[in-house]
Amino acid sequence: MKSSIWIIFVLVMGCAQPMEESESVPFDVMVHRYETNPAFTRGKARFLPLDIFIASEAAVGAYQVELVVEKGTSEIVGVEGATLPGFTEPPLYDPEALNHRRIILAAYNTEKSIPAGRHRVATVHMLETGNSSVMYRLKTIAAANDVGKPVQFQAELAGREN
Amino acid sequence: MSEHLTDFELELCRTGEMESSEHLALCPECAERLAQLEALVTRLQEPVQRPLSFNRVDEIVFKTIEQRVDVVTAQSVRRSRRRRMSYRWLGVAAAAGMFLFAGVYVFQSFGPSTASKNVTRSPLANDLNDDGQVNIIDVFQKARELERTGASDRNSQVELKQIAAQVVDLDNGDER
Repeated sequence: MKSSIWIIFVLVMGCAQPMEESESVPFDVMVHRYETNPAFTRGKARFLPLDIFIASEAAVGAYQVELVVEKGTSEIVGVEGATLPGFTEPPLYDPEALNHRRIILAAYNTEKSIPAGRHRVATVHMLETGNSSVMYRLKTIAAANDVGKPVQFQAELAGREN
Repeated sequence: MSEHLTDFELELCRTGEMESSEHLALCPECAERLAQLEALVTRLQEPVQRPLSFNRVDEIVFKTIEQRVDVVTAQSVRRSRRRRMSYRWLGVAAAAGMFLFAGVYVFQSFGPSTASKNVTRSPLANDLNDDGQVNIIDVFQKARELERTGASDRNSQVELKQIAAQVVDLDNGDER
């Protein structure tokens, strides 16, 4: 009898999921593509620093972007932070991304935020080995202001090709 | 003195088939042997008292076994009846649980609270702001919460690092 009561109790508790509701926050995902100049590709390996910029109308306390090699032969070999106070350390990333074609970058600082405007937040070092140009794609995932509220932002890529 | 009497001669003397000899009257040893022989015959002629017949022993043993079997059977019946009852209650409980589960599922799936609204439920444990994904905003909010509460213990920091690692994990995102 006791065991029956316990079974009913456990089943009821299992069924009783919390009825909390949450509205999904609309966030406009933005994508920026950058294609390397074919003139710089001479059929030999080269290192290319790819600067990542973010632009927002509000101060940014946290950001997250995703970089993908869409076309061509290139792989990630290193990640560097910004010169902005509070963001000089390399952003967070999965070490598995090194020597691969995709990386998710994220950084935050609860004390110092990135001022409103356009700023370089990171540099990703790439190793290109193909004969053709490489297409990179940068996608915004999320950003928050200095108190943790989601904010819209844009992200851009720029290669130091010279 | 002549030779002692043999056992046979003593027996004949006892039964009177032979007259008592002069030797028997003078020899205390033969007189003693004759007395022993008579006593033996007397004891053999007495009715023998047997302690218990085998039939009686069997009867007692079987009765004891029967009593024991009765007790064990009664206990077994009681136990089996109790077990049958518990199985019956278990079945009732399972049926009630399934009925409740089905009711809750139907209510949550087709009930008015979710049917009329566009609601998204976050299945992610670390989705602190309930926006349907674990991202850097959740890490930021967690870090702020830890700062606000002053929780600087190792477990809190490990938890924060785990969420951060989940955020940048390559298994996340659109292109896995």
